[in-house]
Parts: sequence; C-alpha cells; structure tokens
Amino acid sequence: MPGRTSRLLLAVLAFGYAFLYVPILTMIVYSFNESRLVTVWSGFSVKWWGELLRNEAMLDAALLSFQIALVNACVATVLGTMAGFALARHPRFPGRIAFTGLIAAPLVMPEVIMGIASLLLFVALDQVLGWPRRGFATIAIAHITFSAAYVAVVIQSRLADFDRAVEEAAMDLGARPFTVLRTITLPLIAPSLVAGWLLAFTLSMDDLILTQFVAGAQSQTLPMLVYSSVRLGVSPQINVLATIIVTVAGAAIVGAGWLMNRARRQRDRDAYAATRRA
Amino acid sequence: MPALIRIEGVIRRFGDIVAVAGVDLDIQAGELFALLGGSGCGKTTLLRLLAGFEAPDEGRIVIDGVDMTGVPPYARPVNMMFQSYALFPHMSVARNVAYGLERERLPRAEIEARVAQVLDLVELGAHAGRKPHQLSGGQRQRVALARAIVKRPKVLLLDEPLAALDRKLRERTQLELVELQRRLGITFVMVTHDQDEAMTMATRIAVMDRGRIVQVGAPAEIYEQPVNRFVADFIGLANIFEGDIVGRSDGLLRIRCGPLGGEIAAPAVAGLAGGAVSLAIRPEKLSLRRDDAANTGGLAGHVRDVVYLGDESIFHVALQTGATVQVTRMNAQRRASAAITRGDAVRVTWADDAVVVMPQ
Repeated sequence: MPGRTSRLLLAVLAFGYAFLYVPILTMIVYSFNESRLVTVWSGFSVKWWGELLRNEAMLDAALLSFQIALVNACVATVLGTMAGFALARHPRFPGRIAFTGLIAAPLVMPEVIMGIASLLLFVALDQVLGWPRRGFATIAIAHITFSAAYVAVVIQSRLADFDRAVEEAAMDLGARPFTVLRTITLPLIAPSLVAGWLLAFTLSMDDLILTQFVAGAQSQTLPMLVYSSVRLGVSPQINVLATIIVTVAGAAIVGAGWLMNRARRQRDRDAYAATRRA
Repeated sequence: MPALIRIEGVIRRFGDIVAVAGVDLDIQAGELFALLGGSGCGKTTLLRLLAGFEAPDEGRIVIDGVDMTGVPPYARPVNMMFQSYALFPHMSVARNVAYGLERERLPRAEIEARVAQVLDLVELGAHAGRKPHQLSGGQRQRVALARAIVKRPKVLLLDEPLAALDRKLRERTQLELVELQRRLGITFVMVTHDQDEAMTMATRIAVMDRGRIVQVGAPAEIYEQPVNRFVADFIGLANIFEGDIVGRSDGLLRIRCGPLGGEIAAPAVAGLAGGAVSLAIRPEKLSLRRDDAANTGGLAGHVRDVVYLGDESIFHVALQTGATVQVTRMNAQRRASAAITRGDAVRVTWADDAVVVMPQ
C-alpha cells in the first residue's frame, strides 16, 4: 500500500535499524583503520588484526570469558528452568515466599552488594574447605547465581500462559510425567529456553562489577581487561575483537535458526511420508 | 452383566466448594452416556475423575472390574477428547495421532498402519502432514477424535466435544459421532450443557445439579417423566404449577390446582399419595382453540404473545385463572387462514395423562 503512512513507517523502520546497527557497522569499519587513534580514520589496514592475534593477554581474557559464559549459560538455564517450573506450577510449598524473594533479589540488588557478599562467602569457604580458589570457579558460580534468576523469570512467564490441557492430553495418551516433559512441555517452551540461555550467556559475557569482586588476582575476563586498558587509552584492537565477537554471535544465531527450521520441516515430511506409505 | 464403569459414592471438594457431592452411577458397555447440566454442576469434574486428572476425596471408581484408585491417567483404559482439543501444536496431524501408539512402543509399521486407518476414518488422510494451526475448527475436532480413538480405549470421554463448532456442522457431527460409536463399539461418556445434543446423541442421560445426579434415564424418560421441578425445567419447556393431592379415583390422582382452574386429574406416581406436589405440562401437550360457541371445554384465556420459530410457534396464553401457560403448535400449513394471533380469546385443553406429578 503506497502512501504517506507507509512512507512514514518505512522511515521509522530505517531509523530504528540505523539506531541499532550503525554503531556496530562503524566499529567494524574502524577495525580496519590504520591510525592508532580509535576515532580518527587515516586509511585501510589490517595491522590491528595482526596486533590482536599476537596479544596473548587479550586472547586469554576472551577465551576465559567465553568459557565462563558457556558454562554459566548452560548451568543457569537448567537451574533457572527448574526454579521457573517451581514458581509457575506449585502455588503452595513450604518457603515459597522466601523462594520468590530469593529469585527476585539478584534482579534488583546492586551488583556491588552481591559482589561483596559473594566475595565474603568464597573467602570463608576457601578458608574452611580449601575450595573454591578464586578464579574460574568463583566467577562462574557468581554469574550463575544472578543469571539463573533471569532465566527463572523468562521460563515462569512462559509457563504462566501454557495450556496445561496439552500436557493432560499427552498423559491421557499414555505418557508418563517425564515423557510429557521431554516430548511436549520442553519442545513447546524451547524458544524461551533458547532465549534464557542467550540472556544468561550475554549477562555473563559483559559482567564487570560482580566479576571484579570475585575474580581474584590471577584471572582476568575480557570486560576487566578492556576496562583496565581503557584507562591507558583504547587500542584499535578492541574494535577488531568486537568485530570478531559480533560476527561469531550473528553467525551462531542465523545458523541456529536455520537448523531449527530445517529439523522441523524434516520431521513434518517424515510424518507425512509415513502415513502415505501405510 | 456387570457395569463397565462403576462410580461409588464419589465426592470431590476444591477447598470449600464441593464439585461432586456423592455420585453413584453405573455405565454399561456400549452405551453413549451423557452427563448433562449447567455450568458448575460438577459434570466436567466427574469426567476428569474418570480420566484420572482428579482423585476422589471419598468413594471410588471401578472401570472394567479394576479399582482405579491411585491409577494415574497414563495407565487407565480410557482416552479423552478435550473441549479445547488440546492438539500438540508442534506436531503434524499424523504425529498427533501416532503419539499415543508410540507410548505403547508398538512396531513402527503397525503405528503407521493404524494412524493411516484412523485418519481415513475421520476423512483427514489428505491432511496428515499439516500442523494443527493449518486446519479448520471442524478438522481439528476430527484430529482430536482420531487421536483419542486410535488407542482403542474401553471408554472414550468427551468433554463438550462439539461446543466449538458452528450450528450446522455441530448437528451433522452429532450424528456422525453416534454412527462412529456404534461402529467402533467403544463406550462413550460425554459431558455437555446442551440438552439438544444430549437428547440427539445419548442412549442414557444423567442430569446433574450442584454436584449430584438428579435423574438418570433414556432421553424420552427424562423428558416425559422428570422426577422433579429442576429436571422438568432444565430439559425443554415446561409449564409448572403447585398443587395438592386431594384424592384418587379410577387409578388417577385428583389434584387441586388453582392456576389450572380447580380440581384436575393426573396419572398416579409411585410414592405420591397426598400432600403438596408440583405439576408439569409440556407446551406441545396443550391444545389451543379459538374461544367460540363450538369450543367450550378447557380453560379460557387470551393470547398475550406469539413467538414464531418457523417450524413451530410458541403461544403465551394468559388464563382467566391468573396463570400464564406456554403452548406450542406446529406450523403445518404455510398460511393458515384461521391462524390464532396476539389478543385472540382462546381455550386451552389437555389430556389427563399429559400432566406429570412430581414431589415438591
């Protein structure tokens, strides 16, 4: 439908995309900048790509952050999903009010406070049990604590408008509770599970404050490194690193969508072929 | 023959609300049994108790000789068709129907054969690969039906199976379901709030009110011999009056009833010999004639309103006794020259055995 309304809508759409993507595109372009100043363009070059690949500290930090984010996302999704089920499916159990508060706490508590609390706990535990040493484990545990809360909220709200008759129908057709979960409930809430996982991954990947408290002297995550190096002046290597992360993340999301689509179509075709053959 | 389903003293409470307040009921194999009642009468809870989604607080349910107490839904020889259909949205029609068979770990070839067979039965063979959201309401209803009968349950539970269909489709589907039930020989237990649906389909009906079964019987029994005011009022139209039994003659009760012009006669009912009673007369069992010299019997009155329904008309007649009765007449002729209309003086008559006497 051509006309003024649709042109206005298109303009709004273009502005929206520009708002989201122009900074990222700028950053990608500037990763090929020759200048040693991040904000001044002086010619095309791949020299900062080379610099980054030789920068061991930066690569180590990136790897550490990535590993922590991966572990965090997986564990937080499992724990958060379980918590979400408890909140959505069990209106009454002992300590429900306290449990609800505990889930909400990390969402509203200042990270500084969580950081101090976690640090105190880890130091005390380390003294008594000899575990955990500050580093990978403490960072991962701290991240899981708060990102599981986010996952729980995502899953709880998905389950709130879930039609339970579908689960009852499965049970009526002979499925035991675990089979119902595996074949009906989880596939139907899969988009929320993926969303929760991605949310947890992102939260962990760019967390700085909490991580500062619990990281200890030996470990440095990417946000910590970037933040400390900013004080000495930003190196264009940051642009390169960010470009790599954006590219990998974008490819992963597109790829996952494509795989899910293909699997679904394949299933439908199989089922269709099966009944036609019979 | 022992009953296929035996419900014994079942009570189910939700907090302070008693949803099912002591139900005893036997359902025979091969019946198409309807639980009929208004919303909140406990009929759906009773169905869910049979399916195993609820557990009785008191009493027990026996299906095919096995006590179902503590038996979970997935282990019961019953399948249910849900009011919302509850199709699995992420699975194709064929996978929806195959789901129950896959749970039995049957060989793949047998599953495929049975799915194809039942889809042909409900005429959905061509839509096996579609997703539920690609189907019309009527097609979804048939997928739900196919999914529920493919396991060949002893009992099929149907929760308002046709409520979501439009009227024409509903009437056609009612007859198809009855036909299917006879062919498969599966016992159907159906919940409905629609008395026409229950009358059309069921071999027996249980009328429920406030968690109890008020009357069980064949459709004609329930309509012609309601046991109390509630049933008479709930099923079809009825003119209901209060009266007192004053005597008995020639096997008929003599009943004094002011609104019906004094003393009338009515067929005797076991257990009712005296005292206050309720009387019901169905509107089609009243006759209406013009009040003129040729017609002198019955009660005089005038027509206050005529509701034209096409096949029949309902006349609201104000009697001289002060009561108002409804009378239905078939519109057998396209244009009756002597049609009775609003304001006409009429006389209302009835046969003695048209009067149903019920305890008050």
